[in-house]
Amino acid sequence: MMFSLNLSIATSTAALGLLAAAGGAQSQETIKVGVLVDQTGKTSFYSQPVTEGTLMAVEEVNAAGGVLGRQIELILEDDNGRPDLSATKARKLVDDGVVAIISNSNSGATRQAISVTAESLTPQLASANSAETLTTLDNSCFFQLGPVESLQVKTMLAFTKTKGYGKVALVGDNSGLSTAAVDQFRMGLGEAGVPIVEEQLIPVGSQTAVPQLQKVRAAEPNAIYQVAQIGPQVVQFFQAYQQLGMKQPILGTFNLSSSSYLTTAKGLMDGTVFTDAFDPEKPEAIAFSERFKAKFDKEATSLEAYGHDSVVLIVDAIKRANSTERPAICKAIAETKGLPRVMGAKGTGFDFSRGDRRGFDPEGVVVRAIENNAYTGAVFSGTKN
Amino acid sequence: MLLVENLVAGYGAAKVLHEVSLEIARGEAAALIGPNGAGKSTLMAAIMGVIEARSGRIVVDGTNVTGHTTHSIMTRGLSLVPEGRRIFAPFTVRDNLRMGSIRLSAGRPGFDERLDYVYGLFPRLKQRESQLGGTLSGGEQQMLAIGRALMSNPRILLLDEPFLGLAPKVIEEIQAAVRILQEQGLTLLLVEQKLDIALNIASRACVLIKGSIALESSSDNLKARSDLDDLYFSLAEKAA
Amino acid sequence: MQDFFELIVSGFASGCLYSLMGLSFLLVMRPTGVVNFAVGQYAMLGGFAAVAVMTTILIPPIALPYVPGLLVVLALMALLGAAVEWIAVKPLVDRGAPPVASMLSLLGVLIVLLEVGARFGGTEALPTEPPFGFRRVEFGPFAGTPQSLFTIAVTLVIFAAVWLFFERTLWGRAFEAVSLDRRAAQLMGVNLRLVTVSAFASSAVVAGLVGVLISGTTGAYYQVGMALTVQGFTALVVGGVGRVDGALLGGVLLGLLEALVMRYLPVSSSMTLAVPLVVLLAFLVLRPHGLLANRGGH
Ligand SMILES: Nc1ncnc2c1ncn2[C@@H]1O[C@H](COP(=O)(O)OP(=O)(O)OP(=O)(O)O)[C@@H](O)[C@H]1O
Ligand SMILES: [Mg+2]
Repeated sequence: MMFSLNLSIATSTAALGLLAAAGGAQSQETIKVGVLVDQTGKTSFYSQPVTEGTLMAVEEVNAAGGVLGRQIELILEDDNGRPDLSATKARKLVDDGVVAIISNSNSGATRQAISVTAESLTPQLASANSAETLTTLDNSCFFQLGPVESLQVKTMLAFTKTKGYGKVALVGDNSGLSTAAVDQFRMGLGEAGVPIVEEQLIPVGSQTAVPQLQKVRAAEPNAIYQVAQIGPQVVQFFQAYQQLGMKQPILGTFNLSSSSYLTTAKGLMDGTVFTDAFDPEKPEAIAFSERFKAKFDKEATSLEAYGHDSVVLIVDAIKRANSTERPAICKAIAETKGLPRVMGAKGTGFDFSRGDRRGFDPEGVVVRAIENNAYTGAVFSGTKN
Repeated sequence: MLLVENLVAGYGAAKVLHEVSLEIARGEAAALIGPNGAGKSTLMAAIMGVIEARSGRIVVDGTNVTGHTTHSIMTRGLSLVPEGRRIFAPFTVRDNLRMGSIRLSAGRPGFDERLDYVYGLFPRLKQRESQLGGTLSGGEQQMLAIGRALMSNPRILLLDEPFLGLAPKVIEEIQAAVRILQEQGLTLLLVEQKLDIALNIASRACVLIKGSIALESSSDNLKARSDLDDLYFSLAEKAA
Repeated sequence: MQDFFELIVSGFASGCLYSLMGLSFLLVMRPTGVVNFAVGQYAMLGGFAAVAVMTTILIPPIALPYVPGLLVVLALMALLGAAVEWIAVKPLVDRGAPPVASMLSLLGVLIVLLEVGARFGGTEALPTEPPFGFRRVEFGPFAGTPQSLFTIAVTLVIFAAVWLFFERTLWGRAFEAVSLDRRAAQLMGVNLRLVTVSAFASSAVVAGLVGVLISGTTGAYYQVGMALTVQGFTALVVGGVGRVDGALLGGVLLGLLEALVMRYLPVSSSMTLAVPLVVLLAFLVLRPHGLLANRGGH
């Protein structure tokens, strides 16, 4: 998978290079947009697909005549997913004269780049980061396009309320990502007055989750929140659950939308529900999936859609600003309202006009289910019920 | 049959053998004698390819085997009974002998014959066939070490101090076995410190002093020397 | 009681993996005296290799069925083990360096293999299709999954084969002889190169098999190696360093202990991985020769 990704990114990059060269030969100059991507580091597995979506969207825009009559040129910089490299790479992009930077690397790396874009007033768009506090940093030109963690908790709790579970169990792993999610769910459940009768961790590197799930079974919860995030531990959760013949409903997180679980935990997850930022039945999503499939001959995931939406936002802003000056674009993004996008529940789009630089619609998270080892459409959405 | 020419060998920075030359004819029994630390065992190790020859040659039956691995040198018909016996203590007597047969040609058709031969030479080993090597007496262990070296059906047998630390009665028993081997035409190179035993068995002796051959002589001539009791001392004096 | 019998099966199955890792350590350690901490990375690479040859994930044109795929992976692992010996160990041994020098250079190999694995397989867990499923099966009071029974069966077969090899065949005895007295074995005509290379190759094969088994249960994962290294080494120390049956016993005991501690003792479940470390320390201090004492030798 990584191979084919690398390959397609390489070929798309090469194609873009040719395109840029051709554009240069014409009188019109290209509009340069920088992309920070983890191509070789530990988070490349999601950073690469996100960037694939970005590349595809730019090709589409260019094929349709570009923006303001000019072609967009993407400049990719690999920050290796490392915060210590990210700022340097961001500075390099700024020096190259990009009008904006799309951050497709992990939250830590994105955070370091924010200081650079603040200095140079360069619009920076984080396509998929879900870290809570990115927009609390002092940079009015930084925008977070994905839903923050707490939003999925809120949505899942709203869904839970409709089910009326009396007592629940919480199972995670000991990765940073998962312990943060455990904390948020514990807090949210506490506020909602739902008692947690058992809380278990499956440590990374263990070979079985049977002891942990036996304890959960013994506590007799009405439902289990499965917030482990590391692949093997998630799979162990489902294996143990099946082995112990358990029947309680399972409520999962964004993490379960990674389609690799349909093979690693094949047939073990039926009946599980999980939060997602992607509704495959949304018209924009259907259209995007079709275009993606036609181009790459494989199914799009929400990761590519995140990368795609960054381009939608930036192109719209340049058009409305009618300028490629950084502050003008920045201002235009901040005024974005009701711009349709692929990600999010039906009827939701980009909206920064509330003064919040987190542009994901608060009602945009959906709950989906897994049936017959396949993902269903949204069975619930938003935070109200 | 075995020819050593200008052999230089040692350990790390230390040079132990200085241009040692030596020749043993087919069917001959020769002795290599010399004081502690002279390099006798080092010479055995070098001949067997256990340590590297830094220069010089080792030739077996006209074939240069310098730099060959131990197992390929053994297929040329050499076998060494190492100093200190080095029995595999947790192995039975029979398994120790099996280890010795590992270089018999593939499929080991000769194994049973060799085993009978060794048991014929040392009947005590047959009695103790399934006893662990480590539980044998010193003399029995030495018999086992010799028997084990014979399992590969060698044409030249090197023995490194096989009588060390044994009671006179056992020494005689083993000496008798060695004599039988000799009569059967096996070529022998015996490393020994004790002159009486060495000269008793071998017809010719080479004296190794500080890594060089200081004297080569027939056993009869050596026995006739007046300074026999402190031969090593006087040879060392002469060399210095 | 239901819990207890379920734990016996799942703890036994995990323990089998630790036993195999212990065996992988042992195969190299016995004849060479070298403790190769890179075996965990062999397991990681074995898992990715399985994904590569059995599924369309890493190398799309190749997707072999389980048994031929397994054989290809194990052959690749043998080559890898031999190559590691040739690159990282032989040059040192040729210069007369002690085993500890090889151990250090193998730590370098560990880091390289980890990097290679992460590059080749990525950082996501990748699955192979397990030959058996995870539905509950019950037999008497016990309950497990077909896959856990498969793991147990494979492990027992491997240990029986290795035990027979060492105890009953001439070349098996030769391996043992090398571990008892290298020089004496050499003077018997044992080909030391052959023994060393086969030791490294078979060690990689056994660890690679663990990787293949895990790729079918929780997926091949680039970080799987470190925990397996600790668990396998502990299995070896608990059972008695130097013994094939000891590795089996040690691994299974560790797996059972881990499961029972997690279930019945009031410790946080994040301590699972600390169990082998505590057991390791306890044994190193109180019973350094393990449960089964070594039979002479070193
Ligand atoms: N493995 C080794 N490493 C370094 N030096 C060694 C080694 N083996 C022997 N030596 C040294 O080489 C020299 C010759 O030793 P060697 O064992 O060949 O003597 P030897 O004639 O067999 O003595 P002995 O009659 O006591 O057996 C000695 O100075 C010894 O200390
Ligand atoms: Mg000696």
